[in-house]
Amino acid sequence: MAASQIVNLLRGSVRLEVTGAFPERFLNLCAQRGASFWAVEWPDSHTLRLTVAWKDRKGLDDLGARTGCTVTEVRKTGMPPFLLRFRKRYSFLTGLALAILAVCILNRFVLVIDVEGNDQVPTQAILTELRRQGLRPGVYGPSLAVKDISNEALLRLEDLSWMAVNLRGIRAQVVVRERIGKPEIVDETVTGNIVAEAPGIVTHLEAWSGDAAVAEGSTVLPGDVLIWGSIRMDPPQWSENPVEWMPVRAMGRVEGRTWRTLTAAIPLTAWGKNYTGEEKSSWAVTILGQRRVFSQNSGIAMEKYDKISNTWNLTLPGGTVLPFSLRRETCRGYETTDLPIDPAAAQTMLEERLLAKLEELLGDTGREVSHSFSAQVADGLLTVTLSAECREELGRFIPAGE
Amino acid sequence: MEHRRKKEGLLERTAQVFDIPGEAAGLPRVELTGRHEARMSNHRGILAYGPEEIIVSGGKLIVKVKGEGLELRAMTAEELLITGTVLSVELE
Repeated sequence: MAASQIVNLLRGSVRLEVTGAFPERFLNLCAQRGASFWAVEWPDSHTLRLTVAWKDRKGLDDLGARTGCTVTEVRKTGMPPFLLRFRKRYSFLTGLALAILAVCILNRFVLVIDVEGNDQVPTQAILTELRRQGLRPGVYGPSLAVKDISNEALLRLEDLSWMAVNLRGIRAQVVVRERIGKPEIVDETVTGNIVAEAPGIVTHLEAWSGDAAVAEGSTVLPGDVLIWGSIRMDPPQWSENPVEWMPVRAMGRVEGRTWRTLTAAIPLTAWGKNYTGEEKSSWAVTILGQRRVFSQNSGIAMEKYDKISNTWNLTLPGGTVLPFSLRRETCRGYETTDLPIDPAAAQTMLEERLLAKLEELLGDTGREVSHSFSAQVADGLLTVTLSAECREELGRFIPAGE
Repeated sequence: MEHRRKKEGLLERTAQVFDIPGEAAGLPRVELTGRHEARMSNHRGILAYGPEEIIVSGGKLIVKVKGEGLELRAMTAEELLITGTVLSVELE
C-alpha cells in the first residue's frame, strides 16, 4: 500500500457524484477553494465523479448549489467515517468508556500479590501477616504505606530478615530474605561423658576431648561410657603427688555397627465409606477477597458427609490468578461400614513406614547397611517387623550428674 | 472578459519587454514529462473533460490535451496534473 493511500485512509475521503449542466464548473470551484480531490471520472457530459478529502467535504453542497449541480455521496472510506458510524451506538460507547475507565482505575488496585525469596517461611504466613497490615487483593494501591507495611510485617515474622513491597500496577511484588539461624554453640563449661545410645560394636572412635573408655571392636550396651569426661594428669616424675583428673566436656566421634528392630501393626479391617447418593451443592463468589454465598447449606440433614470444593479462578493468559473466583461446595452423604483391606497392600505400606521411621532414627550421621522384614497375622492384626543393620553414631553426651 | 484578455495581453508583452518569465507574470505554463504526465500552472479552470481529451482554460489561451486514458490526477486553483498517454497538446 502506497504512503498516499495510507494517508488517505487515515484522513478519510468521500466519493461524490456531481450531476448538472456544467459539472466542470463545480470542479473549478473546488480547485479555487483549495479542496483536495482526485480520481476524477466523467461518465457523461453532465455527470462527474470525484473523490474529495474528508475535511473538504463540508461546503461542497453549497458549491453544487451555486453551479446548479446535485452533489451525491457515493461512498465514504477511511478512519473518520468509520469512527462516525459508532456515533449512535450508545452501548458500544458505554462499553468503551467503561473499558477505558477500568484500565485507568482498576490498575490502581492491587489484584495479585507475589511473594518471592522465601524458602522456609510459608507464603501463606507472609500473606496473612501482610493482610493484617492492610495489603490484600482489592486494596487501593496509592493509599498503602508500603514501607510501614513491610517494617511492621518484618517485626512480626521473626524468621525474615528483610522485606520490600513493590507496587507495580495491579501486582504487589513482595521480596523477602529469610533469617539465617545461629549456629549451635556448645557450652564447654558443662562437663560430662559420652555414652552409648544403642547397643552395637564400636568400629571407629575419635576422642577430641576426654579419654576413650572403650577400644575399637568393643561391644557396648546402651548407657556404657564411650568417652570419659575427664583427663588424667600425671604428676612430674619422682614426685609423690597423686594422679589428678581434670573434668572436661567429653567430645568425639564414635561410630559403630548396630542392629535395630522396629515393629508396626495394622488391623486387617477398616472403616469404609458407602455413599448414599444424597448430595447438596452451594455456590459462592469471591470478589477481591469478599465472599458472597448464593445458596446456604443450613438444611444439611445428612449425619456424615464429605464436603467437596471446586474453585474456578479467573486467570490471565500468562497464568496470573486474579482475585475473582467461583466456588462450588458439594456435600455427599455416606454411611460407614467395615471393609476388609488388602493384606499385601497393608504390608507394603507398613514396610515403607518402617523404613521411613528407621531413616528418621538414623538421622544425618547414620546409614542403613541391610534390612529384612517379617510379617505375621494374629487376631485380625497384621504385624510387620523390620530388622536392619546400620552404621551410625553411637555416642550421646550426658552432662555429669545425670 | 474582454478587459481580462486585454490585461493578459499586456502582461505577455510586459514579460517579453522586460525579459521576465511569463509564468511570473501570470501566464499559463504547460509542462510535459515524457508521454504520461502533463502539468499546467496558472490555469483558469477545466472546460471539458474526457478520457481522450481534456480542455483547460489558460485565460487567453485554451489548451487541449489529447490522448488515451487521460485522467485529472490533481487540481488546485493554480495547478493541475493530467496523467495518461498524452498524444498531443494543442493551443487555441
